[in-house]
Amino acid sequence: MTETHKIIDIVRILFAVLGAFVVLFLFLNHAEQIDTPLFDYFTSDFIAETGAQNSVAAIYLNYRVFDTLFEALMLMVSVMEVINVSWANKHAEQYRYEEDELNRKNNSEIVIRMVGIIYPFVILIGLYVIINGHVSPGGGFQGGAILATALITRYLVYPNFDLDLHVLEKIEKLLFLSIVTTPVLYVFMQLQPANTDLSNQIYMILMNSLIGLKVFSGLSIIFYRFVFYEGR
Amino acid sequence: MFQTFLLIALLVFATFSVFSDNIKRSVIYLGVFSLIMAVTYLHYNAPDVALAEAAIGVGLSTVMYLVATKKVSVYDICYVNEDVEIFNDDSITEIMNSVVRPLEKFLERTEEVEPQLAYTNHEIEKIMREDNHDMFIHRKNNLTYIYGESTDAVFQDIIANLNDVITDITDIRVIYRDEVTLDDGNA
Repeated sequence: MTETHKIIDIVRILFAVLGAFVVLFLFLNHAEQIDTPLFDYFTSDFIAETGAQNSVAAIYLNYRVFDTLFEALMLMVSVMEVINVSWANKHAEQYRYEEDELNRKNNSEIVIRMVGIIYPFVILIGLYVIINGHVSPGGGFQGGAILATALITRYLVYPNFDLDLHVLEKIEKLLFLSIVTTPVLYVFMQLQPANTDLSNQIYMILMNSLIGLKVFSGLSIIFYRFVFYEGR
Repeated sequence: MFQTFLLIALLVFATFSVFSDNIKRSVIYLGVFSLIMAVTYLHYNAPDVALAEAAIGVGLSTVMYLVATKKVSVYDICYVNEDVEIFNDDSITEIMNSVVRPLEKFLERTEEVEPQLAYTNHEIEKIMREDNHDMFIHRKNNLTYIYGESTDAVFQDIIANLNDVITDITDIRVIYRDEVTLDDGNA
């Protein structure tokens, strides 16, 4: 029994050393010069082609919008899976938070005050990141995550279950539908009113806000489901 | 220089979060790790990824881990049977239905703690001296001993409800570890 353990240990160490050598070789080996056709294609003329000043936004909302659709689908499937798993727990409903009274004795006064001051600014920066996603770093996913963080800090201060998760779920599915529809109509079928910078920018802002709202609702569903339906 | 500093700090905080004794401290170290990771992404000219890392790694996952650690409390049970030569999962079946399953059910439903069972065939005195479990079940010559601390509220509840929890076995002896010394423990 101990011998097999030794052999497995030796194999593990060998694998680790081999992997380290491969990584170091690839990292330090500058002999090979590779052309950058994709880099040139994506960065040469993206402002005129897509209307975005941020090349990352140009890639994920125009050149490679197909990937974005599947990312959105992945988030929605994981949200559905979280809901499904917490439904499998038969006693989940009884753990719901039912006290109406604010339970403040466990929470620190400093945290409550500071979160109260910071809260509107966090929401503002989330909206800013979403709407300026095609100009500055950021975008729908990042802004949605910041908005979800704001909602979660609200849980720290005010642990109350007054959100209607079913409505939020329905909103998320509708948003996914519109996230699929918008690029299919605008980019794939080229049903654009006019191929100008303005229409491209409107498309970018619309897509970023749709993605941001969807990520926001998805992450908050996961968090609230987890907090109020799982465990105690 | 700045890059070296960032990478070394990443390694240091990753090591801290893995080897820390306290799980809450681990979570905080993980948050600091994520923050340095975001700065590193910024240093490598990837501000989009840095924003995502800052929002998800520092904000969402830290709060989520903290809430999760607050919710889960593990009750650690150790099953000791010195007569078994090589222990595997089959050796535990003799007490599975009579002791372990009802005990786990009681812990989950009534005490609302997460039961966790370990088993061994080492000597009970050695295990008690070296390992830190909440409760020991010791099986010896068809007798079942339960060891626990008298200051442990969960253990007190288990003892108080022992007749309801474990119905099959009549001769179970309960030993409070802090009231007897180890030498006359099985007296």
